[in-house]
Amino acid sequence: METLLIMLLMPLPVFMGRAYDPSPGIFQSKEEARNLECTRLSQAEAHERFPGQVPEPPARGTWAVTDALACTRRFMRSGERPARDEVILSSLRQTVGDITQTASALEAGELTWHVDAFYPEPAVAAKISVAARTELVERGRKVSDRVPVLAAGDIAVLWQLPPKRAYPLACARYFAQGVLTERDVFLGVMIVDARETRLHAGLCVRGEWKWLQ
Amino acid sequence: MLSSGCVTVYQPLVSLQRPVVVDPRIANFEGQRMLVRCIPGDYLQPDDAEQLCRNVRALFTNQGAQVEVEVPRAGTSARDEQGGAKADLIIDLKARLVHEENSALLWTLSGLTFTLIPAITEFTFAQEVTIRDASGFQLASDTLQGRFVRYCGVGLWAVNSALDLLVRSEAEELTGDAPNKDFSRDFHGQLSQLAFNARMRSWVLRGFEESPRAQERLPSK
Repeated sequence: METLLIMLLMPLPVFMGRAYDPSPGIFQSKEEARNLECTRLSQAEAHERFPGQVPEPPARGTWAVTDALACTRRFMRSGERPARDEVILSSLRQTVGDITQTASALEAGELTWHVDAFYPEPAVAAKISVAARTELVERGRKVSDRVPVLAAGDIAVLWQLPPKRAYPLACARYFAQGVLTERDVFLGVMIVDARETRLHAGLCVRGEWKWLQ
Repeated sequence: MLSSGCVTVYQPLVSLQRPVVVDPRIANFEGQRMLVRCIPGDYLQPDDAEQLCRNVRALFTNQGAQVEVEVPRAGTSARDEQGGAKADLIIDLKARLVHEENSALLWTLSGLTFTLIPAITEFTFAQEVTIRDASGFQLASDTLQGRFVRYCGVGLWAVNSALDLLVRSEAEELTGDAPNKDFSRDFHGQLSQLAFNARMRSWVLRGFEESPRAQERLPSK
């Protein structure tokens, strides 16, 4: 009995040392492990971010482990929202930052910017629009809350066209109907295929449509 | 014999656990010509690079692409792209070791206790993926990071085998081929999604025109 107890206790120190290991195992399922965002950091960087948990690296160096695996729980658990929405929303800040940077570089004048997102899920589309407007404001642009709208007849025609023709035609109609003037710029953010997880963008200036990415 | 008492655990780190929309079992790259380059380095030996390239070729061939592979070797010149037909997408794969842990002390203790104390080895790797068009314009890039932890010990192996047999669902199993299957699913999914996003970006930037080479390859209606 004592021997069995000793045998069972023998691996305990090793497992105690790995109590915070985020990989799947006896006490953590694969699903739980997938809900963590983990990245490997140097000890110095880990100490800077988590001073209470990671000690300062010794000044003279060491033979011991000198890096850390830092994990944070994902904001939304895996499967809580559709895969495409999850990918687009979790990288929205960077994507929208890239788009607005390119757009701002192309049209640098004193213009009023209008933004709309073309995405199948209205709630996500609204988030994309707001993120793009915020980024443009942070870049010092004058941004309008108004979303340019076309006549019902135009929308009915545009709805049936492929993206290649729909966006340039919509742009021309905005200008022809006076919805957008020479002092306005329209930034459209969209996906063109249901299988992609990266947003595209185009710019409508003086009735001409230009794809950015 | 030794490895039969080991349990390897795979943990997706940066980007590998991101959801995927594209289905790698259907024809997502019909009419596309791809060149996959697996670049050997300190971590990826030429033989492993060739195996990786064969694996990725099978992945994209199953999705309808015509795939050529290349493993650049030191001392040999790169493939002459001007001579042959250019690829629509050029995928460069480079791997590096981010972290490795293997304690000799733990192996000694494990040996002395007849593996009741498990020996633990782990490594974290990064797979860098860059996708360009024929002109060299970068369409997409990402770094996928994963971690493998290997526990060798008869007690731990017995507990996990029993849990797999009696408690865990098939998707949650840890022993056997599970880590390879899980990693392949994640890697193939992310690579397919990246390539599809790159293909769409290239198509949009060309004004929704297929490349002249792709048009030639598509069957006439």
